[in-house]
Amino acid sequence: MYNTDNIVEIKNLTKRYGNKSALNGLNLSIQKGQIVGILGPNGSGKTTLIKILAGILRKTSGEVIIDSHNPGIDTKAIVSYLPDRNFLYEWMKIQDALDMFKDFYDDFDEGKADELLKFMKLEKDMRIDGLSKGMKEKLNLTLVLSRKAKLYILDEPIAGVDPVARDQILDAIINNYEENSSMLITTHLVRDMEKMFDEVAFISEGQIILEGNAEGLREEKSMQIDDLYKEIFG
Amino acid sequence: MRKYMKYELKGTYRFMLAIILVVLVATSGIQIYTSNMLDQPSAPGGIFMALMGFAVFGAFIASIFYLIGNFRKELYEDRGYLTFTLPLSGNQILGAKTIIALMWSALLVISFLVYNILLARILHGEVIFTVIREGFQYISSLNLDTALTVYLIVFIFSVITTLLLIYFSIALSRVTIGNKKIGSIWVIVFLVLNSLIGLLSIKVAELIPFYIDISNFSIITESDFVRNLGNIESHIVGNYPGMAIFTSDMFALNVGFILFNILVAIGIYMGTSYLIEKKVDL
Amino acid sequence: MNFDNNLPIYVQIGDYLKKQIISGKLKEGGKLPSVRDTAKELKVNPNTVQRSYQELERESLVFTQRGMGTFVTEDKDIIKNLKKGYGNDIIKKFMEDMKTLGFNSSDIIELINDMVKEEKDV
Repeated sequence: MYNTDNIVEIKNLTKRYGNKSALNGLNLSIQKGQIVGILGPNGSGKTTLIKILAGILRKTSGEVIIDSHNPGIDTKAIVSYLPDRNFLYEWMKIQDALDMFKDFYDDFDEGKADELLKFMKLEKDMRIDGLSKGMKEKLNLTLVLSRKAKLYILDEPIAGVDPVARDQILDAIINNYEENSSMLITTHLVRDMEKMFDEVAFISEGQIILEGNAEGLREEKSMQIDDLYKEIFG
Repeated sequence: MRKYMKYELKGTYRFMLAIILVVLVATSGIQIYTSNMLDQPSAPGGIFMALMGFAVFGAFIASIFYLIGNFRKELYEDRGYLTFTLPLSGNQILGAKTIIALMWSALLVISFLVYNILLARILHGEVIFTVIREGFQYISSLNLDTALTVYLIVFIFSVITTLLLIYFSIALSRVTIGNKKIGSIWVIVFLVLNSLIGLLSIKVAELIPFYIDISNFSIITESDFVRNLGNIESHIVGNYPGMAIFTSDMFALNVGFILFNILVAIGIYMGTSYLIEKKVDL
Repeated sequence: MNFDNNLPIYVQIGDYLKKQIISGKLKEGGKLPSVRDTAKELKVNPNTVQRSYQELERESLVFTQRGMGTFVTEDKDIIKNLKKGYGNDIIKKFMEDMKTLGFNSSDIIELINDMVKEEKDV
């Protein structure tokens, strides 16, 4: 019934808030082992889509299948989600956050977390509410990437961080990408991120308006994805 | 659930220990002041007593709001993005939060009582235990032990139900309205639901006119009750009329009332877990 | 490395590697960095780098030894041809530019001879 090469299959997904639609019959499949970029301006439905996949927002209609499950407790165990905000508890030190991930996610790899913390220059006894925005973003990404998840979902991982942190974050994503897991990354900073993607999908008004292999699109349109993005949304 | 309780405890202990400390310090102030008080009350003394009293009262109120807020924040603040992406059921999250909130409430009350009794012992000597013992003896002489035990159980049960109903009202407000600005709408939802449950339990109690005699757990009817007693002095006790019959040597609870309230407690617990797991949109 | 022309990334990476081979930064028979290291260095999807390596292999510029990695070819002729090809491309473009400026072939040779002489004097 479902294509088993796909980790995610979304069919005709709609999300309405009152009479406003955030998603409007969206279709998307994500193959195993691929890094997919969801590109679109603010308000296009990127975050809505991602929150439904993360299991914290309910669809109005349509179909969402992640590794042959509907979003829920089963999928939360295999999806590693980086929200676009600081989701860690305010009272925590970095060590507490590590403990929590270790306690709740069987796929959490402590060694990897140690390595990433070192790379990000974060210390375990730092208090989370004392970290700068860039450091928080790096810590959140460290936790999310330290899981050996089947699907990583990163919502605007480099938005609003300084260039040094941005490079570290991009390095960490490439270093820790596993061939048999998949990644879904939303961004409107296409220029900085387009080299990371196998596939890209342009989202506008809650629908995918163009999708394809990133290199294929570059070849076909004779332009970089960033230029294509500007042509579509500019 | 136990794993999640660990993080609930870690997140709440600083505030709750501070509350307990404030309560103990302020009540010490009150006790020490009253035990040394001269016959003439003084103005500064009065102000001191009032301040200490407010501190104790304020700390109790603050702890209630804090424990309620600890649930509410999950639905309205960014931390929900962590809590609700953990592979946990609504049941496990709600269970952990309820147990931790009840544990803190119990700890606060018990430490308040035990500490004050011990302090009174230090200030007034052994006599304080005699006073307490006499108090208990007086209660037994009135044949009130059973009634008081039942009262205590009913009280604890109603604390739990109230807490669960508050959680339910918060979750329901979040799911139906969702707007953070009118987030305190849950108070109105709570008051409405609370009255509704109260009214319905009276109706159910009227429909099922059977009572459990607490002394031997036999089922009796109101007419049995009246017939078996020569000199009837029926009092209705508790929050809701019809829920209990109480005389000098008999204490009986309405079956319908008990069943209804237990079912309501289970229902709102399950309802809340369902809402937070399946319905909340962050 | 910036990817700002209109070619696919794998082509640009291939080009970058070829220039390293021609210039001797990557020696004949020498080992190429792993796909992952190159991906890290260039901040590019590893699958894209993989594709560049495959293209180079198709052109016999590199070969893969199972479990060992990817190596630059030891066949000097292939590298020489590659170098010549790049040189020819540059000259072709240069000639076209010069001709649009109105130089004919003998003018161009003369200019180049002068330039070479000057370079020797310095």
